[in-house]
Amino acid sequence: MSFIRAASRARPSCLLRAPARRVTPVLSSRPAFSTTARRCSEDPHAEETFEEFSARYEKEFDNVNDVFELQRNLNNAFAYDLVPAPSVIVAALKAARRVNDYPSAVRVFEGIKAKVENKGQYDEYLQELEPLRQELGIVLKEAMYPDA
Amino acid sequence: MLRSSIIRASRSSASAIPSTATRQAIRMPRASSVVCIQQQSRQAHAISNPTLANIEKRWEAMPPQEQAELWMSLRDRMKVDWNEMTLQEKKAAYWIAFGPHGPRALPPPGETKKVALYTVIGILVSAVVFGLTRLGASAKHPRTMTKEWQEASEEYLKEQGTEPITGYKGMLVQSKPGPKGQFDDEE
Repeated sequence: MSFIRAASRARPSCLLRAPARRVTPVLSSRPAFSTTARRCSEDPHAEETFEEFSARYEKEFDNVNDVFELQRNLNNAFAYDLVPAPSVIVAALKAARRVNDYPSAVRVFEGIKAKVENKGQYDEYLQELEPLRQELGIVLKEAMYPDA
Repeated sequence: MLRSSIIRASRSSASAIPSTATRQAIRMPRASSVVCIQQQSRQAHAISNPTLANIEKRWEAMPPQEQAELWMSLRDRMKVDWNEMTLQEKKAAYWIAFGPHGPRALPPPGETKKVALYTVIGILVSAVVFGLTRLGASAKHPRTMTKEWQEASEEYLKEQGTEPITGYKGMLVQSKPGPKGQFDDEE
């Protein structure tokens, strides 16, 4: 049902706008799931730049309200052929703190480790995120399970 | 065995992040939100060590009810400052969410060897069966299975203009030359 509503909302035509549909002001304010970047520019095939990607996912993580959304956004952010910028990671960790999901916060670091090219880059990420990690009290997986 | 490993692979590749443990735990206690609130107030202090000791070994054998209760209490503990959580609580929370159990379970030891072994056995058995059928086959070949017949077929195709692209000489020849005078009785 909701996907029908979402589809009808996404379409700008006035044909589908029956009066009965206007009774959902909460839904129309912000879509429950914004799956893709909305692109209003003239070129529909334009590549998203790294900065745009970072800004988009910072916003996504700032809007996270539950564990599912957090993990969904993490899956998406880490599915690209790039390592998310530290600012995105910070937003993700803060989102994890907000929804009280400790394991996902640890998993974020695991995700970075899997995405970077070499150990040096991982160490740089760790260095960059060290203050926030200490503040939130996140213990790395390597520290929790050294032999695994 | 093979089937289960394929299922496991497809499941594990589907997503890296969502944890089944959290899902289960979220789904289960819907009916008893009152209990949840009680637990929340009760779990202001750390979960005792014996409850979490060796959770990696015990988790899968625990009844679902206990699993849900433990996860609920851990979730309540995660609401406080994470610096106040004990290392054991952190380990348990992480392991329950992302540890190698359920859909994330690692393949049983020696699975690769088993798959390779059974494959080799299957190939050997099929080779033996093939050899046996060949043993039982008649030594007399069909009359078309001679070099002469196949060359004549080529000639025929050429006359008809069939398949000019790959129609090279010797295209159809796959048999040894037959004995002399093999087509005598037909003429």
